[in-house]
Amino acid sequence: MAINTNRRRFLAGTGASGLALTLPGLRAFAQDTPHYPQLESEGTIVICTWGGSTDERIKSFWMTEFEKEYGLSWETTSYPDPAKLEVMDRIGNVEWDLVDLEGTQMNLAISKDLLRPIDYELLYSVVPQEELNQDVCKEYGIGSVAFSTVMGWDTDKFETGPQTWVEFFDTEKFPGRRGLYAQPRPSFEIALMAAGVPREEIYPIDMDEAFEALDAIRDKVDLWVERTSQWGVMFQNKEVDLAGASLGRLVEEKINGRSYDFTFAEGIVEQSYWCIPKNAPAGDEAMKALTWFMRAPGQLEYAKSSPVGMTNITITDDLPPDVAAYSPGNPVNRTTNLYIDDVWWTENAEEAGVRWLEWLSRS
Amino acid sequence: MDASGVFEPEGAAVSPGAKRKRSPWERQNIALTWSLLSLPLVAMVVLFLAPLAVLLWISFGGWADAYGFEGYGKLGAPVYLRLLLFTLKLALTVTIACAVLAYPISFLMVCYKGTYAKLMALGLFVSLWLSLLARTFAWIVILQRNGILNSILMASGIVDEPVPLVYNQTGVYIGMIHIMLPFMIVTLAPVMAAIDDAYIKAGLSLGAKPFQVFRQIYLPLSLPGIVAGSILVFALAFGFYVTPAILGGGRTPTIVLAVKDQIQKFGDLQLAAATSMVLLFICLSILIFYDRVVGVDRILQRGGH
Repeated sequence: MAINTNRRRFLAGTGASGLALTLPGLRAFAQDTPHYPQLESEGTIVICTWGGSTDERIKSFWMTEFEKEYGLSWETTSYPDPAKLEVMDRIGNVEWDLVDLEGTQMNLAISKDLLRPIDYELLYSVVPQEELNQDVCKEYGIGSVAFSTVMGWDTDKFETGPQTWVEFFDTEKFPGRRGLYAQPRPSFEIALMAAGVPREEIYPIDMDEAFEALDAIRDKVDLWVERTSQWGVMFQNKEVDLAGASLGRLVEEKINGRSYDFTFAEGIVEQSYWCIPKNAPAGDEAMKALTWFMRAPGQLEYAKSSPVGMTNITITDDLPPDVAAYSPGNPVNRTTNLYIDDVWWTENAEEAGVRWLEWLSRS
Repeated sequence: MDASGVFEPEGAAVSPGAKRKRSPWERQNIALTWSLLSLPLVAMVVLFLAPLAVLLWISFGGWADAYGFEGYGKLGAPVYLRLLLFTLKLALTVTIACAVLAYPISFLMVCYKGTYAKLMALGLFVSLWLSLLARTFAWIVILQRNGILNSILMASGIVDEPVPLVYNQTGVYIGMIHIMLPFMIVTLAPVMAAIDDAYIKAGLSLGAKPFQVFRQIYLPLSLPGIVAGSILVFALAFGFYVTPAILGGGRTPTIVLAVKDQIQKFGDLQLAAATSMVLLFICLSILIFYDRVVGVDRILQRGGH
């Protein structure tokens, strides 16, 4: 899943420079944090992440403090991949204790019996259940971040941009070059919305209908983007005028004063989850660390550093206004979101993937 | 090559059939040969053959304990054939272009001894050290619509509209040839350097025209380098997917991109293994065909003339 890998890796990359809010992380802890004896731990856990400044965030917002208070040290490694986990599990050498899987990856791992259930008893004994977004508290994973693909446009070219995907592909109103991800997810969703299918009727996707919708926009897409790192080069050189691009990348362009703007309208949101491999050598300790991750102070600092949705919903009100404006977790920003149905995508990955390559390579 | 010649000095087979005693020298020779060979052989088995066997086993369903041809059956989808043909075309074109470009460059590097050669080698190796992605993106900066090359072309009035040089097949070929070129040169240059000047001088002094000397003496002697280089470049280019995916603007998926999807998205290791085995088979077939035509074993006989 290199694309999403990279979309995520990019998000990881934005934080430090992007929202550039220094790292006031540690200040938030220090005082008034009660001691939880149930989190006492020892040894080392290996956390598999999407790399980049994600590792820095894990360190600053969570693990430094956790190691000091509860004695657990950690290492990070990259990149989450259920196929790799399957092989490690099969040969009896699972190296990861905690892994950040995309929704579809988690489902794939569940179907191969590679994960262990989340210990909600422990979790809720530290973080009250009502603090957490129950939609992303799953049996085998708990929400890490939600990342978005949104419409962006060059403000030198268009003062106001499209507010729907139908408008996005209106070449009379918005003449220009368009870029989308070279992936069926979320291109199916985008094409269907562009064909006028209401958000709530997208799933279950009818693949024939999706490809008809894709045929309709095919000639309007000038560039299919393989990696999120490509967006920066494209924006800075005005290679595209309209883009269905990573929110993180667009936020960075905007904050850095470049001529790009975006809308949250009809943004497409994908959820990732913290999961613990079934045969993780230090699974119990990983669960304790994961519990710590879900506490509001660390979640707040994370949200300040990167435009992603967090699982602890109590932090929304505490976000500074400038951050809240770009935060996908802000209720104002998520009124017309489409949430990726990762169950559908897991079940149909193969057919969708093969047909997508067939469609894309057709000359 | 007569393999037995390595182990058995002349005269060893004087009385075929009859039990003959090996001389101490022979025995030592054989013992030494095998002891020197053992480590590379073990390494080959452990590092190459064993993983290949595992892959073959997975491709027939060994991983899932459900043996069958399911993995190979799925490869019947027309998209795989199309991606394969494009990948073959890409690898072949890149290989030929690299050979044509690398030949004069290697020749220059070998002829100009001293500072020039060092600078050329430096340029070559620096480009090998740089990250693949960085080099791919550098080509975008140069080739894109508002890029360096198009700016020059437009400013000089050669073209009025930006020429689409990247995010299409043109861009893929340019990027791939650039990335593969050093591998060809690195293989070719030492072969050229080893060609003894005496052959050239002899040819010239006997009245051959320079082109004749080149065609009848230099080219055949440098051919093993081209053969080795093109095998290397072809195999590498065949397995590329990031550079084509980025420079092609998404419209030039390769077969390896499909394998990546099979593993990471479909979680179908059997299909991925089956695809890999088919790709390996195709690559080997091409290699054997190539061997019949130009003779891969010339590489092994280098120096023997």
